[in-house]
Formats: sequence, C-alpha cells, structure tokens
Amino acid sequence: MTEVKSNDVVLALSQLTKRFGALSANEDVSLDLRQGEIHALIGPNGAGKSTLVKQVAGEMRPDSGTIRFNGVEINGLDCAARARAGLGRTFQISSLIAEFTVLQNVMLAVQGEQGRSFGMWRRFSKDADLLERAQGYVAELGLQDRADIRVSELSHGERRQLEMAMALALQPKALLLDEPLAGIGPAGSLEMTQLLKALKQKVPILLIEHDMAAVFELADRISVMVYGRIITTGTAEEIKSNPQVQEAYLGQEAS
Amino acid sequence: MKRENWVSGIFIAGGLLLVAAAWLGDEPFVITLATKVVILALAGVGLNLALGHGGLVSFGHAAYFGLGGYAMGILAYHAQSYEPLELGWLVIEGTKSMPVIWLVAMATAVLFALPIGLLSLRTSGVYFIMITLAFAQMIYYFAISWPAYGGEDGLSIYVRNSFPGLNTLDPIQFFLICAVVLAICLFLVDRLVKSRFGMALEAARQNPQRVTHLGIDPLKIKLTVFLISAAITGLAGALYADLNRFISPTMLSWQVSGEIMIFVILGGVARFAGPLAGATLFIVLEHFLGGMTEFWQFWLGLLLLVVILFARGGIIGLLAGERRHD
Amino acid sequence: MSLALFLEQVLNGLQFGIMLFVMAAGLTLVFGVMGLINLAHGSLYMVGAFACAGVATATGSFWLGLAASLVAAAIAGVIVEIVVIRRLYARDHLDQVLATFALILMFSEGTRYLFGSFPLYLDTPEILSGPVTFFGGFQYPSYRLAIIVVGFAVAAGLFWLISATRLGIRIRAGESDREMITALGVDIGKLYTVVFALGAALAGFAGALVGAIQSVQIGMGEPVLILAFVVIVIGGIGSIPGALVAAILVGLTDTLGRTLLPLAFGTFMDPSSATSTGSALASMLIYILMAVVLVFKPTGLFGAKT
Repeated sequence: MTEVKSNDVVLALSQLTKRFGALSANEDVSLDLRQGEIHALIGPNGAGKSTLVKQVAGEMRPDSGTIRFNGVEINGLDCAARARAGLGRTFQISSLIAEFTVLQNVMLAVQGEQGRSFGMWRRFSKDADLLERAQGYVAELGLQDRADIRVSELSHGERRQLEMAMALALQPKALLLDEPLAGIGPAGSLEMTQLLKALKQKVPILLIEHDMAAVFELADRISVMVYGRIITTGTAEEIKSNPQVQEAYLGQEAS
Repeated sequence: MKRENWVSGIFIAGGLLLVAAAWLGDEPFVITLATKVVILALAGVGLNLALGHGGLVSFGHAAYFGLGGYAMGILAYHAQSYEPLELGWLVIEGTKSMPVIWLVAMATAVLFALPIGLLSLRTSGVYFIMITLAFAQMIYYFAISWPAYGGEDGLSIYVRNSFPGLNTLDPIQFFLICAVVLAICLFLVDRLVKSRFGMALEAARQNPQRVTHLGIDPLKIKLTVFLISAAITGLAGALYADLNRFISPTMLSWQVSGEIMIFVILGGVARFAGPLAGATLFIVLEHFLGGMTEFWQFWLGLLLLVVILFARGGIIGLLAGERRHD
Repeated sequence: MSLALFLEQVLNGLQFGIMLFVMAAGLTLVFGVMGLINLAHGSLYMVGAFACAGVATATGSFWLGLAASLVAAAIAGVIVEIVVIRRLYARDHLDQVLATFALILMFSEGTRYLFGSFPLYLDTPEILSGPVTFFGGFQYPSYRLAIIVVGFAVAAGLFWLISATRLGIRIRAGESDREMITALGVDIGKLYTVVFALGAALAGFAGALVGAIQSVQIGMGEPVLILAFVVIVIGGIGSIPGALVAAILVGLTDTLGRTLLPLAFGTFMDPSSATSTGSALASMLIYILMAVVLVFKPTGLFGAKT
C-alpha cells in the first residue's frame, strides 16, 4: 500500500457501528477515500454494504463512530445537507423524476447545486445557465440524443447513465456509487468503466459493485466486508491473493 | 400543450364575449353571475397550485377563503362604524379601500396557513387531507362561537368597498376588477409553475426523496407553495365577500372546501384554465339545474362521480388531451 | 361546580366519545383494509337515523327502528360499495375524496327528496325515558346510560370479531398483506364488501342511537364524520384500539372543555366575555388536541410508523 498524506483524505469513516437489535450490521468499520482514487467496497450479499452506504449518505445514523468529509465531521447532517456539502451519489434502484425528460432531470440537479430553487419568475426551460451546464453533463454521459426523452421511456442502462449525469451535475467532491454497473449490459458496462476511469482524476469514488472483473480493473484500493466487518484493505493483487477473502467468497459461493 | 392553449384561449374569449353581450344588453344579473364565476375560479387557482402542482390535497381551503372574507368584513365593519379595531397595544383603523383589504386578506391567510402548513406537512396522504380539513373546521367553529362579528349569523357590509377611480357598485366595473385580478394571478401562477421553483415543486411532488438528494428541501418548497396557494384563495375570499357584501361562517365550512376542490377537478387538475372551466360549469349547473329542480345537487353529485370515475383530466383534459410537462 | 354536575359532564363526554368510536370504527377499518378514505360514511350515519325515525314512526316501535337502521345502512353500504367504491380502491386519495364527496351530495339530496327538508324527531323508547338514580341522589338519563353501555358492548364485540373470528383473521391479513390473502384463496372482493357493510351498519346504528337525543336531519352526518376523522387521526389510521382511546379522549375533551373553560375564564374575566372566550376556545379544543398529538406522533397514538 502506498503512503499518502493525510490531507489527501476526502472521506474518512472511523469505527462505525450500526446494530439492529442483536444483529450487528456494521461493526467497527474504518475506511477512507483519497483524492484521485477509486476505492471499492466488496463483500458477499448481506455483508452490510448497503447499511454502510446509507450511513455515509445520511439516510441512517450510526450507533457509534464518526464520518468526516473534507476534515469536517458530518454525522449530524441530513441527506440534503450532505449533498450540498459535495457528497454525490447514485442509487441502487434508479430513482429519478419520472415525468421529466433527461435534460430536465439534469437541469434540476444543476439547480440543486446552484441552490437557487426559489426563483419564481424566470422560465426554467429558457434558463441559459441551467441549460448549458446540463447539456454538458448529458453529453459527457453520451445521452445527447436522448435529452428530450422522458425518463419513463428510458432503458435501464440509460437510467443509470442519467443517474451519473445528475450526480456529476452536483459537482461532488466525492462520489458514492452503489452498483453503477448493475443491469446495463456488457456494452454499457464497458462505457461506464471508461467513464469512471476518466472521472476519478476529478472526483474520488467510493464504489460498491458486484462485478468483480470491473472492480479489479477500476479500483486502486479494495476493502472487503464480511459479516459487517472490514476484513482487509489492499490493491487488487493483494486482495486476489488474500486467503481470508478467498474463504469468504468461496465459502459463500460453495454454500 | 399547444392545443391546451387554444382550448383555454377560446374558452376565455367566449366568456368575455358573453359578458360584453350581457353588458350591452343590460343584463346585470348575468354580469354578477360571471363575477361569481371569476371569483370562485380565483379560489380554485389558489387550490390548484397546491393540489395540482404541489400534490398537496388540501381539504381545508375554505379556511383561507373564509379568512379572506372575514379580513374584508372586519376592516369594512370598523370603517362603517368609525370605531378602530383595538388589539391591546395595536390599534387598526378600518378601511373601505379594496387594495388595502386585499393585502390584509392575503396576509391573514398566510398567517394562518403557516402554522397549519407546518403541522400538516409533517404528514402526507390521507392524514394530510384529514388534518387540513380538521384545521379548517377549527376556524369554522371559532367563527360560529365568537360573537363579536355576528357569530353564526354573519355580518352585513352596507356599501361595497371602493377602488380608486372606479365605481365598484357598477356590476361591469366590479366584474372587470375581479377579472383583472384573476388574469394577473393566472399569469403569475403560470410563470411560477414554469420557473425554477415550479420545477422543483413538480419534482418534489413526484419524488421528494430524490429532490432531497439534489440538495433541495422539498418541505420548504411545499410550505412555500402552500402559503402562496392560501394567499390567492384568501384574496378570492375578500372579493367574494365584496360581491355579496356579506360574510358568515358558511364561507369557512367544509362544503366550501369541497366545492373549491370540485372546480379544480371538474376543470382539470394542474391545468392553466382548469379552475375557470370548473367554476364556470359549476355555476352554470347551479343556475340551470337549480332552475329546473330543487334537488340539483343530486345531479351535480352524479356528474362529479361520472367525471371522476370515467373522465379523468376534467373538461380541459377531455378537450385538450393528456397533460405534458414542457 | 358541583360534583354531580361534573359527573354528569363526564358521562356525557363518555357517551359522546363512545358514539364517535362506533362511527370511527367503520371508517378506520375501511381505511386499514382497503386503503379507502370514505367521506360518505357520514351519509350512512344519516341513512341509519332516517331509517330508524321512519320505521319507528310507522310502527310505533323504537326497537324495530333500530333494527331497520342497521339493515338500511348495511344495504346502502353494499350497494354503494358494489356500484362505486369498488372502482376507487386502486385510485389515489384525491379521487376517493371527490367521489365520496359526490356521494354525500347524492345521499343528502336523495334523502331530502324522500323525507323533506324538515328535521324528524325520534323519541327515546319508553322504558329508557326516565332517569336513573345513583347513590347519593345523583340522576342521569337512562337512555344516555344505555348508549354508553351499548357502545362499549359494540367495542367489545368488535375486538372479539377482529381477534377471534375467521372474518377477523381475514381482516387483519387484509391489512397487512393483500397479496397473501388472495393467495390463500379468500375472495377479496367479497371480503371488502363485507367489511364495508359492517362499517356502514355501525355508522347507521350510531346515527339511530344519537338521532333519538338530537334531531334527525339532512347533513347531520358530516359534523360527526369530521370528528370521526379527528378521532382516527389521533388514534392512528387503521387502528381499532387507537380509535377507541382517541374517541373517548375527544368526547371527554370536547364535553368537559365546553363546561369547564367558561368557568375557568370566569375566575379572571367578567361573565359575558368569559362565556364567549371560553366557548370559542372550547370549540377549538379537540383540534388543538389533534395538533399536539401530531407534533409528537405524526401517525397518531397507535399508528404504524411510516
């Protein structure tokens, strides 16, 4: 593992614990996300990854432990405040404004980033400021031909792309991506992988993903979560050769 | 969208022609009826903003309608009795000036809508419907049991309030005042709906969770629209009180909440001219069915039932097709 | 205030509350099982009262009238469910509100067509017309006392029905998992009709009982309906125990507030303004109660978390 200076750390989770009754979903989880990297979190189903994502995003409060974002503790902030602070995310189940077009969705995200949502006079659809920036993100995700299509008519893969465009429109300082490759097919998967590679220079990414090939290709560091604990963190090579990881995964798959 | 504009335009032009004909033919009753339509439509415009665009099914908009009415009644009452309204250290002079009364009516509606909205928006769905209804009932019962301004019997205002430069007792002039107020409100609401705020509202209605993650607080958006909606309906209440020169707790009753809702639904939810079309149909039915049978509300109920069960989208929806967001 | 007067007010509050429960039970069941908000529930209350008054006048027997109220409201409920309500289960609450609002207009005007605009008067049955004398000479009308007893019996019956019978099991299953109950082979359409008819019969029954102490007239159902809404909002929509607790709470708060508040204001105000301020505030009291409950528990006292 390469040494990094502490001021490179964008997002730091330390000793997060979340229990549901007797069941411990996350136990003493510490990990960090640094400038310029993709840090992947993998683990068998039910390992507690989703619970962790929810705590980072602000949907759930940890029982103990702290979450620091750019050096500031954000435990007390709700989802909206974390989004404004620059924590971007996509959702495991696509959740978009269904009756809006692709472009309108991204424009709304740009508007959310700008924070001027109480303007009641100027027309949204002719707001050059919103339009230009939104069109930029739409093009970045290759959706320019679909800009005027309503979300309800988009394919699954296109919705994923739109999710990404909206996350980027918020100009995040870190991205939390929950299975961005799920269900978008091999071609879409390839495109998304390229995009993420290019993106990480601008925004560090905490990636939760089941597609192991993509994880090994993309991730600079990988943390493995089993039964709510992080059992190891390392590079792709280190993880591949780690016996504990093999046991966790093979054990899971054998059963 | 284009087609909806045409439908709305033809409808409004037709209405204005009818009023012009009534004016030329010296039919003040028709003009008064049209004035009533315009005022009730304005109340509907207020509700349509919350209900249609915000998805806030308020079953208590009679509260703001009635409060607007009472704001007019109380100010005019103190003006005609030459006794200022004393509220402890605060002494308010009565007034007969419409613009002042309108502002007070809107402010009163907002003042009440703020706590009601804050409490009601903690809930959603059926709870929201019932709670807005219950708060309106609370104000209704207060008005009934508070004897100062007529209690259950209501309060008559002898002379219609004044507007600078106009004779408000002339039916056509009063109609024009109301029509211009409605036009201005329709225009402003249309701008609002298509603005950044309007899009945030539309998105918050469809998917509040998602909007939160975009850094927009759906609660603030919804509360703001609830207040604007109450203000418009309150303004309509003040005009309605001026039309009848009478206020009573009936303006606050839950039937009025239901009727304002009917204007919106009959006309078409979240349509530009929906409340106007709905209020027109309502008054026309009231007038003609009411002339034919004492039990006209039975047939109104039946019609409403048929529209809801089989003709979703209301009149404007039937004529102009499905609504689009563009 | 004397103890006797206070006791009388408590009993009045209890009587008011338990009738609100009988009314609210159907409303909350229909919402819990079918997800339907039914404004026309107040009309069924009115139908019961008119059926009772009509039959009692024609036959001279209050008891036949009471039976007629149950039957008439249940039949009206079944017809309305089959013709209209059924088409509304899948609709949003706005459509349900408006369609049932339309039903109110039709019920009210239909009743006015049949019975005229004047209120009917329904006499209390002979054996319950006098007062009951308690220890210490405290007297209370026996009819109101009977209402309290009957109301609690209905509540007990409902609890038994829901917790111990096959129908109750199906109702509870319907509340928690609609697909499961279909998979179990229960005819869900029939279940819905039965639940709706049950709620309707209860509403009609309450209308008849209350009709004998108030007057039977068009529009009598709606004020009660709105109070029943307040009750189920406070209790938590869908919860029968919640409805019972909230109904008693609302009944006592309203009744005691109307007597006690003017007295309380009288201690520091002149009598006439104490009466007006006190009664104005008393009329708002249950709504204030509702607001307070909502601040602390947005889904009501016994409501499920959302």
